[in-house]
Amino acid sequence: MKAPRPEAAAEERQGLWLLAWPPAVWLLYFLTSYGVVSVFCSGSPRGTADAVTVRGVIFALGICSLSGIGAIAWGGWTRYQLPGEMSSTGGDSSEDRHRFLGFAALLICGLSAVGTVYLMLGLAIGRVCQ
Amino acid sequence: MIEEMRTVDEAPPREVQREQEARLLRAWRAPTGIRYWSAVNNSVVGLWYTAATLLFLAFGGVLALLMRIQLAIPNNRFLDAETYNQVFTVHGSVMMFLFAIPIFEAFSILFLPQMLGARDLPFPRLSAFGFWVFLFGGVALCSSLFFGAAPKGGWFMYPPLTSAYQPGVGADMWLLGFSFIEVAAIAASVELIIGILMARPPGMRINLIPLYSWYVLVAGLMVLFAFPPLILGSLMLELERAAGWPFFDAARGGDPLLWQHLFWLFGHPEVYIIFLPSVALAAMIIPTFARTPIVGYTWIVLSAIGTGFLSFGLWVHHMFTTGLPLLSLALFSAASQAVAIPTGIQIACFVGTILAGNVLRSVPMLYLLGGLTTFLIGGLTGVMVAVTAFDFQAHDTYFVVAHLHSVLIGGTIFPFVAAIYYFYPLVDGKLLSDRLGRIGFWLLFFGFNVTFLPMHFTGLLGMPRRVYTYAPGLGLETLNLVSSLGALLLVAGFAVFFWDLFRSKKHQSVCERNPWNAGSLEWLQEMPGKTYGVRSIPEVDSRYPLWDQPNLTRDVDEGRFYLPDAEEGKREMLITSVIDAQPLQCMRVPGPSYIPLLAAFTLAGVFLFPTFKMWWPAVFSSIAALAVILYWLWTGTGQIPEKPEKNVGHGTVLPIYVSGSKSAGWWAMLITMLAVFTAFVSLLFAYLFYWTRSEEFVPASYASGNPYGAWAALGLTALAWLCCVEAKRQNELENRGAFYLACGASCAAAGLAGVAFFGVPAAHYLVADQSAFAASIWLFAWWNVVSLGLGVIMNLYCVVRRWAGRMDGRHDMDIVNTRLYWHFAGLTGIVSAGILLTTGALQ
Repeated sequence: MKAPRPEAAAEERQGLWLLAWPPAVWLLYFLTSYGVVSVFCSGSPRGTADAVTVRGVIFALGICSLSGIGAIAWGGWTRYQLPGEMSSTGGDSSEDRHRFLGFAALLICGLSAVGTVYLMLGLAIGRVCQ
Repeated sequence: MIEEMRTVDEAPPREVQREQEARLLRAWRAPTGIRYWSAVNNSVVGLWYTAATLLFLAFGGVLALLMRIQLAIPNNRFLDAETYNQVFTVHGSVMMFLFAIPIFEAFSILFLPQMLGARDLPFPRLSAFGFWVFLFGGVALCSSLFFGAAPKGGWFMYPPLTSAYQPGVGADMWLLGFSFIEVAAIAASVELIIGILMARPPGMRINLIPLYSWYVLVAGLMVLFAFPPLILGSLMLELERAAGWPFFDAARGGDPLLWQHLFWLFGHPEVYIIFLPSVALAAMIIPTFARTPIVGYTWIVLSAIGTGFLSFGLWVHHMFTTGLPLLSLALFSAASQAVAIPTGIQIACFVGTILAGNVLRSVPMLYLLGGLTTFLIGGLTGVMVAVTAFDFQAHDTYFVVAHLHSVLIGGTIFPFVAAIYYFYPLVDGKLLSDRLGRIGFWLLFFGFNVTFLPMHFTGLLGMPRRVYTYAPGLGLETLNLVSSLGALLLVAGFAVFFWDLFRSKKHQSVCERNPWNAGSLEWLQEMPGKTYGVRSIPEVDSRYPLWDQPNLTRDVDEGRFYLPDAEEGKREMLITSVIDAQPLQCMRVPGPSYIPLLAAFTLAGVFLFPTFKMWWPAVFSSIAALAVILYWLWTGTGQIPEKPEKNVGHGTVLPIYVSGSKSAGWWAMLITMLAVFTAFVSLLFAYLFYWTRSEEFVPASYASGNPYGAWAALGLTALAWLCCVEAKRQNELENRGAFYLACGASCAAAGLAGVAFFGVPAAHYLVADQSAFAASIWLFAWWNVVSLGLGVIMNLYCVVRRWAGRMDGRHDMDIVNTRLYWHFAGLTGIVSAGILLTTGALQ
């Protein structure tokens, strides 16, 4: 994919959402998993399921979350790849800011992905539903 | 690529400079004499706030000392069980709610404008209001201890201990008093978030902002989402205590475990709300003394944001022993381990900066390094208790006491003392004593470790928390005695620190400007500082402008940048864009006033009179508070300026009046409503929690009842919402008649919607104190009635503003913000009606 041109760094095209989406995906995955476990594993009269089914559902949700985080990471990567060097002390041009937002998004995607994998590992260890 | 050139204006002649400065001083002058208490300047309010939090710290510390004296020997009779219960409850509550959280807000109000080169925060009266709320609430709670009326259920107030088993006013004092104080926390968050996003100096793009701002931004947002669940939980528990609505009474369909969920949904993020600003201080102080920019700026930003989010997935790790499903425990244990990653990254960046630079030894660095070490110990024991198998053994023992104090003292008290030594010259123009600082540090450091390290072993030996004494012969005597002796060392350390802070410095000379040779913007300040902050608002192109921008101090002082003057005698500041800090508006902020004090005072009555079941005074206080707040809005907001634009210097002309998403007021409304909506989402969570826990939660009679009331509520709420949207449009078109008509229709529809909401539980003969279900439906109804009622008041306010000529199609801030309010109120009503409609079907 071609790197974006410098005009892509105009302020009106920027937003802080790119930094919030990856951990938000993690949080959504986390809360959904918690909800599924609460309904189906807590002995609730609303529904019961065996551990294999619950873990399977949550594992599938984890894969979806990782895909979403990966897509955002790609967006961060393309911003980071804007022509020019990233200044180690900040830099005051709009391109510097653009690269910063891309790099920060990329890093946050990494952390969110690790957090998601941690949850999936937790499922691998917890073999009993209730 | 076109590089933007930073330019400075020619300096005006000296005589002009002097006149400009005199006008600025007049406009920003803090009142003196008795009117001093009407001040709203951030430099004054921030100082009050910080001093109050330190006094509460001292009060909480004295309570801790009383506990250590009691526990020094077995079977001690120094405090009886009743008093001990009150003392540990008030100690925990004071330290958390009156010191650890507000100190970050106090510090930020005091120093953030300087860090951003701003004259003040965008809503100075809101800062003052928050301070007075905090003070009244804090004093009320602390004074209850002297009347034997303090809460005694622990700082987390678990029911049923705090409901059926504690009939006195103590628990009410906690529930209502802290709900009141949380209003102050949310007010401060609104102020700080908008300050960071919209009051930066031109050129300070989002990649150049001080790391302190990143952290405070994250912590401020966390307050918005963490506090509402506790406010809702407190409301529910108070309703159970005062009116018998059985939300947490298992015998009537309630569930005490719900309180733990709501409390820890607040309580765990709160740990990071406390910790992140402390790290932020380290991120400001370490580069100064390492003489080098911070290593890994972007990595630290990642850590701040990541920690903020991850901290919302940890709450159940305080509830590992409550019998939750094992898979749930696995999820929360994994999240608890994951949060160690960003924390480790931050510490690695600090170590990297220290290694990359040439560190100067100083008192602030001593406290910071001592704090980080202590926090690291607490962090590691935190990872231990995040392992469920270990937590089952250590839960509710002194091991947890040792862990949480390592985190909180290492992560809060040491960094804030470091920051007080570091920033003190900005307040007073003088330095604190280096010698006393070192003596205080070693006393505190040794005192802390002698007190709390033995508690790990006391806990592992099985000593439970919150017991007022213990029997001899259990192997606990020596460890407890050592801890108590350590507490005396801690007291000595704090005594030295407070002496150094409060001793008279009348004969001490004023220190040089920027005494630490720091690179960040706050050190532009003259010594001692002026009430207007900086002489002119600079243009910034570096993370460390004082290091990287030649002649910046001179150019600022000579008024070569923005707003070097106050020609109209008004208090003015720059509003800039969120990403690139482009100048957008010359915003006028109000000056000294007693209104914030009066608003806090009347609102205190709303929260505190019900504690003593004094309902009529509470009603009068509500009316008074509403009147004061309306007067505040009428006289202090949305004023139409005498001219549309103003030359702010540096060749820039900016509008004075802005509405909509470019105005700070619109963002304040949005952020406040996000907090309110989070409380509503917490109510939905509570409802679904009940629903999953019991098949009999919804009675059969409700499921088969008629749905017309709920349909009416839904339709009328939507109509009220749409009418307000239309009113905004008609105002813009300058159609006065249609505007009044639309506002009136919105009010009428809202009134009928309120009746419909009340009609749903009434038509099904639900009595609120009979079951948790009935109480929940009544709570939904009341929630919407209040929400719609506020919408009606806001509509009527806009009508009167328009009628009085204080609002028109161009100056429409009031109706635009009211419309924003209605977006949330409408959504809340429609979701509520949806719940009322679908509950039967789901059953």
